[in-house]
Parts: sequence; structure tokens; C-alpha cells
Amino acid sequence: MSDCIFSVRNLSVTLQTGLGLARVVDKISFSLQGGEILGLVGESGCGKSITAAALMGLVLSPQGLVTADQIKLGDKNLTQLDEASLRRVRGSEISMIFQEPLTALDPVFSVGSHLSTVIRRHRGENRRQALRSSVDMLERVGMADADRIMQSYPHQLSGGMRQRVMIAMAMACRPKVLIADEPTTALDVTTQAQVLTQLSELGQSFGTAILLITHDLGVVAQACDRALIMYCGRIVEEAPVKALFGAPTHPYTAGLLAAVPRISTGRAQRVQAIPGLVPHPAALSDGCHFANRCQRADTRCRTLIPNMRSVDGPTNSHLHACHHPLEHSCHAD
Amino acid sequence: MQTDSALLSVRELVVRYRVNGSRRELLTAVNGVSFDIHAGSIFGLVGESGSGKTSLAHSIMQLTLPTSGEVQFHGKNLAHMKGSDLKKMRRNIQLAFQDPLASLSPRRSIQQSLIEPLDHFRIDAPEQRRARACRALETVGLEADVLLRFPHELSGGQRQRVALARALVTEPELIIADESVSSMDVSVQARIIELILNLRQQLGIAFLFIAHDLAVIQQLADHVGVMYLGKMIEIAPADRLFRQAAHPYTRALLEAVPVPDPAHGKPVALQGEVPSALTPPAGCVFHTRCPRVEDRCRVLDPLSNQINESGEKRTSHHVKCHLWNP
Repeated sequence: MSDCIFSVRNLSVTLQTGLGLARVVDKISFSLQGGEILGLVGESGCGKSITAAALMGLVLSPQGLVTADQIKLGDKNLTQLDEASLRRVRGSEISMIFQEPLTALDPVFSVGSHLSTVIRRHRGENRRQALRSSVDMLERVGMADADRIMQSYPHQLSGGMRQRVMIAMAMACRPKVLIADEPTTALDVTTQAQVLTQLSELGQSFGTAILLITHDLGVVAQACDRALIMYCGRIVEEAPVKALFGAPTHPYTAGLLAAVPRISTGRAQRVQAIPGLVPHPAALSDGCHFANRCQRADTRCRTLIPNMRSVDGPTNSHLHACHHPLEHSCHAD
Repeated sequence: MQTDSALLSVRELVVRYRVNGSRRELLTAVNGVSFDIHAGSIFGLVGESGSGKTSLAHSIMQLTLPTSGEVQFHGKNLAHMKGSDLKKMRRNIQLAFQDPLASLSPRRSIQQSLIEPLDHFRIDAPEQRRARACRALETVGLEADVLLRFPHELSGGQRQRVALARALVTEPELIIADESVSSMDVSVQARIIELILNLRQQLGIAFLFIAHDLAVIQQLADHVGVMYLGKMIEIAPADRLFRQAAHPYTRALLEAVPVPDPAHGKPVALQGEVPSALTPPAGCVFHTRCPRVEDRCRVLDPLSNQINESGEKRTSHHVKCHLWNP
């Protein structure tokens, strides 16, 4: 990968839960290039948000233990930085948007104060410059009435506007990497479409790589270039979106796609549920974690963890971790 | 008008709330909504947050008293019901609340929560009530061991099923399901959709299914109503609505749904924000965001027009938009 700006190797997170120690993220690896949007997809409880928190250095011991061979941002290895240096990197080179902007924004500070604090701290601008840059950022995320918004408090704004303020804050320092954790889940579809468009336009123009965490495959198809499918803390499939939707090879990916309701102009195609339940992270079986819900599973799946393997040969863009993947003619060679 | 054949019929329903306790400032949450639900059918109600869906549901149940208008169940006006009649009606219309973690008591086991309505309505002999609660859980696909657990011990999908079981346990004719699948993962959501279709088919239960996701509505509904700022701007049989939506807002809503297919173009974003319900726009409520706005839309509130030829009320397609005014 030529201009890879963020690369994660073998990231694992272990948490103390009521049922004992649970490895909620299990040796995941991926990399991001400037300007691209990578989707991280999975059901609730599969480890998406904890992955984001671990990457930002927000999982604290002794409740959580994070290990990684490498979390490389540009030329820095985040695993080797102390807290003070991490603090300089967070918000300026890597930043994050949370699912619920009303809890992420501080109710007693105005929007202007939120934005200018970030800018003054990381860009070293004085008060007046920072306020001007803040207005500029608000305009960039499509807020027509930026001067009034600057004076507003979070509770005075609608959900869509709050999320746009979050985006403006996160992108104010033109970070190399933005982690967006379910940024549109709390929004209505019409607002979601606006916010996703703005997010991808900003990412493009700043060259920021975006890790977009979502459970909505529709959002992945519309906004992402590539996607990772996560199940029980492991990545089970990685592919460019076209291949992922056109020719999914992991049975879990295929199951998820069959469960998504789609609007059609004719008769509605019935959705299909995946049998069984997601196991508790402290009670995972050996082998492939999806085996007990998978129709293709055999004894090998129940004992041996499948490794990530390339589906499309040396191109190495479509990978899966499955002993019995689904075959597609377009990948036959 | 064949309102007599409808199980539930809502006529010109208006719900207003006082804001900050003031008598002057009123928020109109539901503004003149009319529709029918027939026995054993599923009516899908869709709209963005703040469009009045939940207020409508609560006022049908008479939990929030309607400011004006009528709700008839089996042809009887619910507003005139009192005491035992109202109680009987409530047994036949059950509401599955939007957020089961908030509507199930955290201090009661699932068994206690399921038996409470049976005690209240004196259904079965007391010693048989546990068995009935157990059957209701089975119907929604949960094991009997859930009975002794507490809401916080269950997953979101399991809690939502408990909410449905609680609505089912009194054997109602109509269940109002308020965003029952909205916060779920697709694989769990698919199972609740299956469950609702089975309940309708096997027990003949009618549903008022409230959701903001049109794709989910298409899986379930026979009829669809679209709400915007308290008004029902379009009502049509489901197949017709998804084939030829008439109102610009319904079309925008359909276009904004992200399609799980990368070959499909990017969703077209509707401009602007939903106006405040405290100061709704004059004329058509949608005119501030409508791509096809004309002068008359800004001053004149459009009437509801039937736009298909159907003589039967069940299959007629109504829209509130000047574009369809002759």
C-alpha cells in the first residue's frame, strides 16, 4: 500500500466482565489510506466501539488491557507514546465523532467555545483567530447561519446540527485520521444523507482517512470505499464495497446481507434472519466464533481458528477468515 | 365511506400540548389525522422524529387525551368510554412501548411484568396465569427461563420481544408497536419482522406499526401512512406507495434511504431541517423544504385528495399536496 497513513497490526482488547475476562477484540489488523473511507461493520456487542476507543487510547487499565504490535499513525507508533504526547496527537492528528452528540458535547459551553478551544489548543491560534476559524469550519459543514450557531448551546440545536458541530470540531485541525462511531445512527434518514455527504466531502478535501463504524449496511454501500466485517471481536471479511455486496464470501457477511430489508418497487423481498444468537464475549468457543450459527460449519470450524486469506490472489484487497467460504464465479481465477 | 367495517378508525384527531405550562403557547403534535385500520391488517406509520407518531399512538390509547377528533374502536367512540368499558377496550388494544428498558419495571422479573396485565384484567384463574405468561414468551420465541430474569439481564432484542409478549398476553385485537425494531441489529430485526407477520397470520392480530424506516415498513405493512409535522400527508396501500409515491416528501424519504448496493447512486439529500412544531410554516407544512414548491403552497394548506380511481376506501390513495389538486 503506497500512501498508507494509518496501520494497525494485531490489536487486541481484553476486558473484565461479570462472567470473567473477555477478549472483546481479537488480533485485528487493517490499514487506511489518505482520503478513503473504511467501514467497520458488525452487530452490537461485536467490538466495534471498543476498537475505536482502543485506537484513541481511551481504554484504561485495570478494567481493560490493550495490546498491539503496532498502531502506526504517519511516522508515530501510538503504542509507544506517553499520555502527554498522546494528548497532543488526539484531536489534531487523530480525532473522533461519537454516536450521541448530545452526550459528547458539554451542555454548559457554547458551540463557539467548544470549537475555538480545540483550535487554540492544537493550532496555537489566538482567541480572535480561533473564533474566525471556528465560523469558517461551521460554514464548511453546511451551517448557513454560523454566527448564530456559535452563540448557541448544544440543547438549542437539532440532532443533525449537533452532529455537524461534532464533525466541525473533529475536522478543525485537519486530522490524518477520523474515527466516526455510528455518526448517523441517531439521525433521521434525510438528515443522515446530508451528514454523510458532508463527511465524505470534508474527508476528500482534507485528505483525511475515515474509519466509519456502523451497523447499517446501506450506509456502508453509499459512503465507504472498503469495509471490514467484524464478528465477536474478529474481522471475518475485508473487501472493497463492490465485492463485498456483489460477492460476499464469508457466510456471516452473506447472512447479514440477507437480513437487510430493501425497498423495492415491486413485491417486498422477505428478509431472512440468521439463526441463533451472538455468544457472550466471555463464553466464546474455540475455532471460528460463527461456527454454531453457520450452516457450512464442520468439526474443523469448531476447533481451528481460520486465518485471514486472500480471495482475489496477489491483489490482496478481498480477504476472509473462513474454512468453507462461499464460491463466486468472478473470483474463480 | 365504509368506516363501519374498520376495527379502528381515527377521525380528524388533534393533539395539542401546553408548552412550559403556559396556556397561550400550544404545540400541535397531531394535526387533523384520519385513517382506518381493518381487522387483521398491518398499518405502517412512518415519519421523521418529531412528526407526531408517538403522540398519535398515545392518544389512540387515550393515554394522552386528544384535544379534538374521534377514535372509534368497533364503531364506538373511545372518548365517551368510562370505567369498565374503557378497561375492556384497553385489553383489546395493547401498546408495545418504544423503549422497553424504560417501560418495563427494573425491579420486577419478566414473569411479574407479564402477569401484571393478567391480574389487572382478571384473565384466567391466578394459578394459571404463569402458564399463560409462559405461552406468550414462547410465541415470541423466548425460552421459559427468561421469566425469572430482570430487564437489565436481557439483550435489546430480547427486551423488545418481552414488550411484544406483554402486549400479546391479553390477546388483543390490535397491537400498537411503537418503533419495535428500530434500534435492533438487522439479524434480530429480521426475526421480529417474521414474528409480527406470524402473529397476524395465526392470531389475526391487527397492528399499527410505527417506524421511521421505510424498508422495514415495506416488509410488514398492508397500508402506509406518512406523517410530517403532525399531518398525515399521504396514505396508500403499501404496494402502491412504494411503486408510485405521490407526495414530494414521501419521495424524498424514499430516496434518502441508503440502499445496500454500491452500484446504486448516492441518496439525494433533502435540503434544510424540519421546522419547529411550535411555529409550523403557513400553508403546506412541507413547503420550506419542498423541491416543487409553488406560490400557493406558501399560503394555502392543501386538502386531502384521492388520486386513484378506487371506489373502495381500503384501496384508495390519498395525498395532501397542491400538485395533485385538479
